[in-house]
Amino acid sequence: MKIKFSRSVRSIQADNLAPVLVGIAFFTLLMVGWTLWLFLAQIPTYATSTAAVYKQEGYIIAQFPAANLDSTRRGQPARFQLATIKSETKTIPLVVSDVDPANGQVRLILQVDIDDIDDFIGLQGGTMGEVKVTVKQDSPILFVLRAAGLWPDA
Amino acid sequence: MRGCRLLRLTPGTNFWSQIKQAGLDKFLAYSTVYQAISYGALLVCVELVKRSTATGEVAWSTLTAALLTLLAAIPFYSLATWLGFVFNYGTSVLVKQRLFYGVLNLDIDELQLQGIGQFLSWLIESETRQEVGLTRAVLVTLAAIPLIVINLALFIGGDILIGSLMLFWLGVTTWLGYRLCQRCITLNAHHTEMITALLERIRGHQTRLVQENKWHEADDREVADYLTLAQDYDRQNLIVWVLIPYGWIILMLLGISSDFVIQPGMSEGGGFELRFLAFVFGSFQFQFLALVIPDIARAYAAWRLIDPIQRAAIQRSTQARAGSASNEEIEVPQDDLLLPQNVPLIEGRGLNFRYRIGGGRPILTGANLSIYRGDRLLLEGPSGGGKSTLASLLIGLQTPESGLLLLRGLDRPTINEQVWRQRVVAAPQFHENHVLNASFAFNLLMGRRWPAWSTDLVEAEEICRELGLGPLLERMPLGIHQLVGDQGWRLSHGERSRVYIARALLQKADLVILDESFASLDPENMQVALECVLRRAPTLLVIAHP
Repeated sequence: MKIKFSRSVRSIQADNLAPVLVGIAFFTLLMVGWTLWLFLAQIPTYATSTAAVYKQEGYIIAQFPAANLDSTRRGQPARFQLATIKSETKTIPLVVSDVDPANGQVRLILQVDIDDIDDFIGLQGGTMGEVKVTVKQDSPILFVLRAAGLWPDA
Repeated sequence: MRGCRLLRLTPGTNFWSQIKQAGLDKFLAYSTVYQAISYGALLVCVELVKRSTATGEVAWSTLTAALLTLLAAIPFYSLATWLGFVFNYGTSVLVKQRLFYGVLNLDIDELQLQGIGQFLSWLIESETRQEVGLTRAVLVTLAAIPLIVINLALFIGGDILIGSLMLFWLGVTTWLGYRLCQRCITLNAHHTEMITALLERIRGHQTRLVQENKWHEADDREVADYLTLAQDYDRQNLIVWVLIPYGWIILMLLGISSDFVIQPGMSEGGGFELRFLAFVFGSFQFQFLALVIPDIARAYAAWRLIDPIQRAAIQRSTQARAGSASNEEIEVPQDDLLLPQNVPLIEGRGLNFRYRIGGGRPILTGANLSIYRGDRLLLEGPSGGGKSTLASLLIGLQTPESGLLLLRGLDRPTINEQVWRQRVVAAPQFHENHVLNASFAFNLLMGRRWPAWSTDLVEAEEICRELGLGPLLERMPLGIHQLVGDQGWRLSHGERSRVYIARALLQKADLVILDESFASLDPENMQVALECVLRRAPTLLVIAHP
């Protein structure tokens, strides 16, 4: 259909690209955000104990499967959760102090003074629980590449 | 040609078929999918936030992922809303076409029974329905979906208490919405009555200004009644606005608190996230519903009011389909000799009829009649007795509500509406008939064919002379070709009556119905006209006052 020139000019003048530009900017920022997250974020991998017991001296002895012990090193951060408390958020910060591969045991030291934690007043020697050691932290892109078989397992 | 393709459906056909043909169903489907994605993203976001603090310390990578997921939900939600509105505008166009189609197909006789106020109300309410109804209906659907999903999740997750509370509150919301709809319908009906009455008074110069400050108690009563109804509606509206959102919050708090009392520590279990979602989403969605429900009520009331227009559109489409189907299959006998003497020309059995809009008073109840070829019938009765209505049924202007009406043994859908009207013609009452601003010949032969053949003109002139219009033809400078009507030669009352009779006779129909056509003629002219009619009409039905 033939359109008059003046009408075309008016259409061009009336055209507004602002919403499109805002949309593109938003999408660009979102994509940049996801890309940065993909490469820079650190996703922790945990080794979970089969059994753990709190000792009166302020440390914890935890049993780990042999496969998990290979990646457990001295100085790695960990968390101790009491078996008597349901909440996942109530945990005690620890650090790995010694690894005994022969017995499949790991010794962990409390990172905080036990008296400072109100929620764990009932904590005493022999209390059972679960320990999660952060054995490594990788970026999400490595998880993706490993899942696709493009990156060897560490 | 092996077939044909329908380019556009009739506006009165099934609405969903029209939506599909216009391609609007895709917009609705995409809108729903994007809406589901955005709600899914929100659920993922909540789960990520929960996991980010699962170990007792904040996992910033997981929290960042939650934030990015939340941001990603925004464009999907915007897209879903935009597509929803595109669907609404598209369907609004279809609704408008349907209403126009319905208006054009409303029965003239029924329309004459309505006041101008009724039409004004229809106009206003159809606008309301277009602007408000569909948009809000989609929004309500979008608001109700997450509520239903969360409700199902609560039941599946074993949280029977909160699930039941939500189900109960959804029921309460529906019930309150229904009550509001009922009040809106009552208010609308009263409003329509007021507009109708006011406009009729204006037409009759009965405004207060003209009445010189004479106060009418009836006016006060109407306004007072309307005020009472409006207050009742507002009260119900307020209940909806306040009770639905805040009631849910109170109910939820009560549910959670009772749970603490009965079973302390349960809030730390796995159902906490679902309860959090039920609380947050529920509060938001119930508030949204409370805002939208009054508009839905208005749209529903408008829908009810303009229902006659829609029914007219649907009925017209159905008739059109029936007519088009019959065109190809039935061959109507053209020769009168084919009709055996013992078969009536027109036959009615148990005819019932009432005007749909005019209060529903039955005009004809169980009417039976048989008219044979060559009959000369006089139908007498009091004013408003249904004589003209029977005539409009016989000529096919109206359709009987029930009963059987046959022409030459065939019903109207079979014989085709156009053919029926060629076979049975009428000269309607004086106030329903018109002399058009055209030549005298056109006014006579417009029912037969135009441009007319020379034989038609000769026959028209013959009939005019037989009806006593010879002196008129001689007086007019151009004779039968003289321009008549408002801008031409002015015809007297009696002359016009005889023009209408001539117009009916010239159509060469099987049955001629003359509705009070002789009322305005003097005895001498009536005798002349009657003789002509008796001579010319194959079968005749004259309607007259006793």
